[in-house]
Amino acid sequence: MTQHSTPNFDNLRRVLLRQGPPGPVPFIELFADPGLIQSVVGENLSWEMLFAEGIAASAASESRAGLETLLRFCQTIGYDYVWGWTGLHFRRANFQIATDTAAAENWRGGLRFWQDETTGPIQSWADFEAYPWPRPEHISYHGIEHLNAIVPEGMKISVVVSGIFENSSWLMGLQAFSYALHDQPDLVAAICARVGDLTAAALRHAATVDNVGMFFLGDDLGYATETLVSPRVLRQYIFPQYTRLLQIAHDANKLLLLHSCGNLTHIMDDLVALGFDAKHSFEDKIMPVEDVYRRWGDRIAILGGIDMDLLTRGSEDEVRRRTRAVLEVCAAKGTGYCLGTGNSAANYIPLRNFHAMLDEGRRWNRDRMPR
Amino acid sequence: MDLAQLKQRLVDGDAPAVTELTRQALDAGRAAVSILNEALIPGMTAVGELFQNGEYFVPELLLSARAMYAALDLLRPHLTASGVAPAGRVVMGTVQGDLHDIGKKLVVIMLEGNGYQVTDLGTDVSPERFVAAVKESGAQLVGLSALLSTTLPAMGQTVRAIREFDPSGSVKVIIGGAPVTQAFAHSIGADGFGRDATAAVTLARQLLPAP
Repeated sequence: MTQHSTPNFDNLRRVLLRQGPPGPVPFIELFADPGLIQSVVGENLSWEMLFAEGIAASAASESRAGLETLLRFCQTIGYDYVWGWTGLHFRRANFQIATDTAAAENWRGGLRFWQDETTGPIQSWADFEAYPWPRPEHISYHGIEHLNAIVPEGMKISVVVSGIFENSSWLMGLQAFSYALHDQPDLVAAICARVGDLTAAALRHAATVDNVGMFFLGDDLGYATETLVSPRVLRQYIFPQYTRLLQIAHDANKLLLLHSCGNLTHIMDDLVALGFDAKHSFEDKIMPVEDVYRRWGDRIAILGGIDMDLLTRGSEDEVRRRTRAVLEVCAAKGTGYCLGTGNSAANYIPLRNFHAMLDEGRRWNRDRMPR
Repeated sequence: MDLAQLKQRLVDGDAPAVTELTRQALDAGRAAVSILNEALIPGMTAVGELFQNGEYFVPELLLSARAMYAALDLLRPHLTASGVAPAGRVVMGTVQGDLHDIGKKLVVIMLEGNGYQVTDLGTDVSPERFVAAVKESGAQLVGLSALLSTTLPAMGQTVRAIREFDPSGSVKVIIGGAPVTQAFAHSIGADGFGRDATAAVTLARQLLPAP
């Protein structure tokens, strides 16, 4: 495998903080699906290998092997970081599983998990009290501690953090959560606060790990035309929890990036004001990333944005042309933008398109940035 | 009895009030079809406009839908007895391989709230099941939903299956979902693309003959 570049988290940090002088455009992803990873590095990898919560000793070695495969993938692609997770997990069984029907080059067999939007393990105060909430002292950090020990010079760890709105609404099911905003608002407030407490505890500990460079909070708040719930609800229940997480990250001199899908036009100013260092996840159908960059790029770093539908169903030539067009706008200043997909390096993106996007980024850096 | 208050309580998402006011209206001798046409449908139309304008969101729409269904439960026996025809018959479903439900559910709510009879097939629906449901229900409109780019091909397959069953094109097909665009709808021969739940009602009114 060819390692395309030497990791340089200092450059990534400079870009995310929108500082000069102009430099190479880094690559960024929230994460990559195991199927894509194993196709690039030629090693077996599964989601189970990557999570370290409550693992037995025998599974621990498999988990370490999985993380080392992940690290090799990140080095091969040229990311300045490797992503990892804490062991914070909210137990629930309200998801549906179906065969992954994506006719993808890099995923043979396997299943796709879908969120049950109707209900969840917490529907009442009795359920809230009976729910097996994680205890902060029992949250495992084996994964990021192992990465901390093996990450090479110049590379840092991005800790992927599961979202406040997502976990709170998933614990009830979005439909039940919606009714509860009217019928049981105190219960909604309690769930959001508890999820916030535990997420804050995990962040606080992870921030003490030397090679953690940033946190990447994944919290989908919207869909094609709007946020799922009103901005008023988000400001009341969710944004105060974001404020806590941002305080923890920034006090430890770590960055906090937000991945959030959907049309967030009516809350982007809120997200900027809260202090997120960057925003990820954009779709051409909602607002092309270069339009987002023009509108907010002077106040928050803009990440990725090469449309998932284009990457999935477009030709390699279309992907290359689109990537160059995005770079012409978003990378012109040499800071404040990182190149990547509009959502994640999913298993259903044809490898040739994924590599084409990255290749255009390398050409841009070669042609535009002085050695 | 003034039905304006019933309409407003529906818009407010107040299910207990809507239930009580519907009962009062029926007890006062108002015809079920009159309650439907003068309060419920206008109420859901107003809800749809608020949703489309970004003033109502998923929770508000669900609360109004809960109130609407509470009223419909009271009206249904009366509507059936009086032989009131629906505004149209629709089959809805999320296409094969896709399990996303709530987007499709919101469309069902808006269509039923506007007097359409909807057969909701749920998720992961094969082209064959869509065709079977059209045959059984006599539906004139089929609505397809998908969340992922990878399940879009199933939309094309479903459109082809419906065209094979109905070469005349009298059964219309509309599509929607996160990766769906007007261009994609045109490419697979769908009759319309709806960007949200309210748009689906507009399309249904445009594509189907008035009852």
